[in-house]
Amino acid sequence: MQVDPDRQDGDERLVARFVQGDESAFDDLVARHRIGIYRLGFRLMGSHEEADDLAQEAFLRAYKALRRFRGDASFRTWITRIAINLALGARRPRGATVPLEDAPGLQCAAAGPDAALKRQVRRAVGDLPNRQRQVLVLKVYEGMKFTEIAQITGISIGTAKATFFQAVRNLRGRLAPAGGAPGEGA
Amino acid sequence: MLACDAARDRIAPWIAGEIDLQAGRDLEAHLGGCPDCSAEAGRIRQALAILETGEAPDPGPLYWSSFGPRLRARIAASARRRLVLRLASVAAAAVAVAGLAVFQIRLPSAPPWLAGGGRAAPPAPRALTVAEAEARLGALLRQAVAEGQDESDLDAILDEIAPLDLLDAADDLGRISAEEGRALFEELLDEQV
Ligand SMILES: [Zn+2]
Repeated sequence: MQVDPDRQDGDERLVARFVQGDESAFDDLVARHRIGIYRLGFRLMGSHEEADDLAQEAFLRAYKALRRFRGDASFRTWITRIAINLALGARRPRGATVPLEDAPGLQCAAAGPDAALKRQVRRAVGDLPNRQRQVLVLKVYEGMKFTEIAQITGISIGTAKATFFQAVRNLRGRLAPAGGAPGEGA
Repeated sequence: MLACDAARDRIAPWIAGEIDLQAGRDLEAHLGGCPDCSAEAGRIRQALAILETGEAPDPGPLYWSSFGPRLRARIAASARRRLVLRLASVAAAAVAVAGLAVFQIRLPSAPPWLAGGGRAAPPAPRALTVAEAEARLGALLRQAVAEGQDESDLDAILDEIAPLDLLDAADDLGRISAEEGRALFEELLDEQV
């Protein structure tokens, strides 16, 4: 994950302050990470409502467990793991989500000639199996290394890689067949 | 030359920089001479590029201004739920003690198992002290953890054993009536058996 070292250092200090009883340090941690966790939730769950709920719940759990946080990963990695685990456990009723374009108040630049393709890609990501969607989101959106993905999702590095490649192929397979399905044209 | 199927298997690892040098060179050579696979690689790149630049939704300042306060409200509600649960077990223990006193008044001579002597006694259905009630509660939570519940899921466990509709009966200070406390505590005991 591309974490700015200063930022990570700041997180460590905030966690330490919180453990020593400074409640406001937690609010600062939330302010630093809320948009990242919200966006992760949005990409994993597909709707504003679910992303909001996931982010709130992830921070609630973080609050309750932060005093036991041992700092063997960065705060960002740790809160991401909490959010990922919540998303894995969440039930996603098909068709019950609000597409981004329809969600009120969202600043979304989905206009222009490739808007349809963007929509198609997003839908294809939403259709991936849970684990593949997770690994894809962590790799592409969060910019994580496979070692971090393995750490966060609790799978081996090899499995993380294989899952990612599978996700990419699946994603491609779910897009409109511009130029034939994979395997043709041998 | 690499077959198309094998080449396509390598495209995603290649784009991600996850194949060794020689395999990468073989693939590049194949792509150079195979328009179909080359187009396929282009589309995979395009799909990933769309993901990477995908609009990151921002619900806006109004949303963020309420995020922290809503989270604080959740944290407070969660803390309150624990408090209520603790008070409920205390209330239940008090009720159990009172119940035993009535029982003793009705029976002039206490049965042997209650008096503590006599033959092979059935397990004594005696009142729990507050400490015992809390110990029971702790044991329940530990048991749930041992059965695979994540410790950080404590809230979910509390939700299960202390349903929110019961907690609705609590007043602002989190106090609940002895009757409701007893109902809750009986549920706890039932689940433990
Ligand atoms: Zn080919």
